Amino acid sequence: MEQAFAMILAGGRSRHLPVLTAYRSIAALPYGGRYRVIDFCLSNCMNSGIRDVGVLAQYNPASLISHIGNGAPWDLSGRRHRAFILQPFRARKESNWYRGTADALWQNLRFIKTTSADHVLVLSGDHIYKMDYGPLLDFHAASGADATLVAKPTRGVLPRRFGGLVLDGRGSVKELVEKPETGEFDHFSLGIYAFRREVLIERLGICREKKYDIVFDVLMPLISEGRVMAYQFDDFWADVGWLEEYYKSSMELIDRPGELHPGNPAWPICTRDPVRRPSYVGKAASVKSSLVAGGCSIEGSVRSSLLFPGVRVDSGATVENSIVFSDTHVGEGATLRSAIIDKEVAVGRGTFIGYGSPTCSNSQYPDSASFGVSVVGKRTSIPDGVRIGRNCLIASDLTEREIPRRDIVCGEIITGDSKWERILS
Amino acid sequence: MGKNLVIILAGGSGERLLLLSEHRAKPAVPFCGPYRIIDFALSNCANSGLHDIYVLSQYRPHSLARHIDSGRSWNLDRDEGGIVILQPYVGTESRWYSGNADAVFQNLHFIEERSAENVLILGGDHVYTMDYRPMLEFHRESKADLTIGVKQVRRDDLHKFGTCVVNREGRIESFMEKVPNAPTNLASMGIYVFKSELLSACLPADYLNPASSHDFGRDIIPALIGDRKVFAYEFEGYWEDVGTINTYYEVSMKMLDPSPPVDLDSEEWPIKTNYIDLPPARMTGSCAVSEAMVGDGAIVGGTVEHSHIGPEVTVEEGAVVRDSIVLPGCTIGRGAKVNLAIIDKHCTVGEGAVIGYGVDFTPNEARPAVMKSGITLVGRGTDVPPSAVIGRNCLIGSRRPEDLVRVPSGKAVL
Repeated sequence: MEQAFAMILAGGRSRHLPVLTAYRSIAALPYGGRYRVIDFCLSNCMNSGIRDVGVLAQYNPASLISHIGNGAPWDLSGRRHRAFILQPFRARKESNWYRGTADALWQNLRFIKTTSADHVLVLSGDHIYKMDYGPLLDFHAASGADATLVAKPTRGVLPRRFGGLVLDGRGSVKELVEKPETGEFDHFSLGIYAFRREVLIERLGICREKKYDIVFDVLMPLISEGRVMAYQFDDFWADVGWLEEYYKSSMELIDRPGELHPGNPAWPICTRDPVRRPSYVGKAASVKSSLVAGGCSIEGSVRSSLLFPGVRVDSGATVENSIVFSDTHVGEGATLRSAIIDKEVAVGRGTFIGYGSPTCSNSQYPDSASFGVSVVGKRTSIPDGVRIGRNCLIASDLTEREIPRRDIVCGEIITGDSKWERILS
Repeated sequence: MGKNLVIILAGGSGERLLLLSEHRAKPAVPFCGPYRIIDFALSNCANSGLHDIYVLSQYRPHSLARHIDSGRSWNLDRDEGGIVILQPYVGTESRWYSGNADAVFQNLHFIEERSAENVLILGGDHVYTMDYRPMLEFHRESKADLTIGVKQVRRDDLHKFGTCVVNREGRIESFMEKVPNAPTNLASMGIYVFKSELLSACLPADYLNPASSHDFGRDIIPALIGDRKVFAYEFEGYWEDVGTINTYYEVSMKMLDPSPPVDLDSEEWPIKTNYIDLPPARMTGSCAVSEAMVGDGAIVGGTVEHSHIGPEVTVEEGAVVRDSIVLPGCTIGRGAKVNLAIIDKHCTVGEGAVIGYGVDFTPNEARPAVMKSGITLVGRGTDVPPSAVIGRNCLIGSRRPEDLVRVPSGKAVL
């Protein structure tokens, strides 16, 4: 395999993941019952034999940093290798936040130059997929291209949120259209790039002209020069930067384990969380069609749901079509229906989240909370007996006092005393 | 607290755990899913702030060594000190360890090297959570040469333990190892705090004594009573020996109580283990699970009642597992029934097979004294063929499936 090191763009936040990314980047978002989104990319690196990884972090990076640590869970640590977390820093002359994806790389040019590999993989930490980067790098090196991007067939769907690709017969990229409104594209770009190191170093110089985007300012000029090839990938891939995509791809894990099966020994997905005790299912409990991580205690009923580590479901409680993050407590007789509940939330006794049917989208986030799922933020305490409808967004860190004692109807947003910051931060 | 060194005695073959400890040291026997028995001692040490540990091993140490690894899982990998496994070695004498005191004696040089004030000696085969610091504090305050952890046990159980008679100050007046009708209810937990200098004095003397069996309970401690200040420290928490198949089974089942005797995920006193990352357990639409602990990576499609389903165990649709312990990596095939059984790691129970069949409770022919309660034990890596019928109190250790098609109660197929 060609030698390469990976730069993972993990700075992203998303307006389309309200509440869930209030305190964390998308890359640090819990996913799949025990993982974080970036685990998939890091595990791909590990399984592909890539041992040098830089993680570009900027947005609320605390949970990401403690999660990655020295990279040991992904075998990225050793005398000569480790995962480097590259955050914005002060310098003598000029100090800037990362102003874009290319700028993040450019500001770390010294780091890129210290590595000796011929190729640089530029990856996104926000995507869920299993991919061996080895064949990609071999293809890239053999083709002689300056850059290679990974293309997935659109199957006739307009890749509105992604880059539509026009390829020629040899697999060379003719055109890339970001977030197209019209047109016909056979492929779209997955945001996975392999660059010749020297070319990348040279082309990042564009940042001096205040052009900071890896796609628009680095890749597109190379495409117009005919220097970019497309490598085909047609397995499961999900961009979970949107609430609906996040929810639906998570639910698919329950029904179609084959697609992603994190436990496949041939392609393990690793994470940092310590081992918890086996989950306990009580005498009167009922669990069906669900993924249950370690340390859970279930006395109630769980159907078609994902429970992260340490979730407690008390007797008489029902959890359906829901995703419940670590150490959340669902009180006696409570009901969760089509809900995403962040970590360490207390759901009061007899409380109902997700009652009724969705009649309207969320008042403030109509693009995101529109498909019937309600979201409750980290560490919020919901008092006993509260009823919360569909498409509702409940901010993080709310105390019982801040939750109104009435029906919270479909599409409402509850931010407590400090208004917006607790929704998106 | 002065400097303390911990020695965990992990050399025993755990003969009474039968097949479970045939291929591994007793402290490495899996317990309650991803754990191994030694996790309790290791976690107790780590939680007590004791980081200098020697593990003395001898019998089949590989599972144990792989499990302990660098000690990282318990935060016991240190630049100085940390955890070290000591195996019998070739030296001037080149002997196997001939008793637990001899194991310590042969490593006395390494122990003295650490220049600890006290040496805490533990077994690696008990289920309990204990803060060792108050005991070390008691040892220091009472200016004892040796302090023995003791616990009140039922009279019926006394004969299994070392017992001691204690005066008003807590000083031990007499100590007897495993005798009937002991005049006390205090049993030794096999937890000793020695002043280092006492250890350095008494072990060479014991080594030279041809009548000694080189055992702490039988030889070392009785000889010290009277001459030295030997105190008892009473522990009041939960503590169970899991040295026999019956106690192993009973203690495992107690962990399925709504309030189990040990909270493994306790924030104040977590029990840690070394196990690989696994995905969440998958419960399918056809499963029915109650009163069970289900490990990570398990896939449950059948019925599970009052049982342990270890990590990476698959219970296929239509299979029924009751009152059983299924250790990591097993597959219970479609329609198979497992009743009152302990199934060691990486076994396959074929479709429609029955383990724990019928009402014939004939004790095991090879081990009638310890295999009579009905539990059938299936050894590591056994393939039970489809439609096999295996009775109760059976010991199944054969690698040849044709031996296992029909096994009446009480048979040992080894």
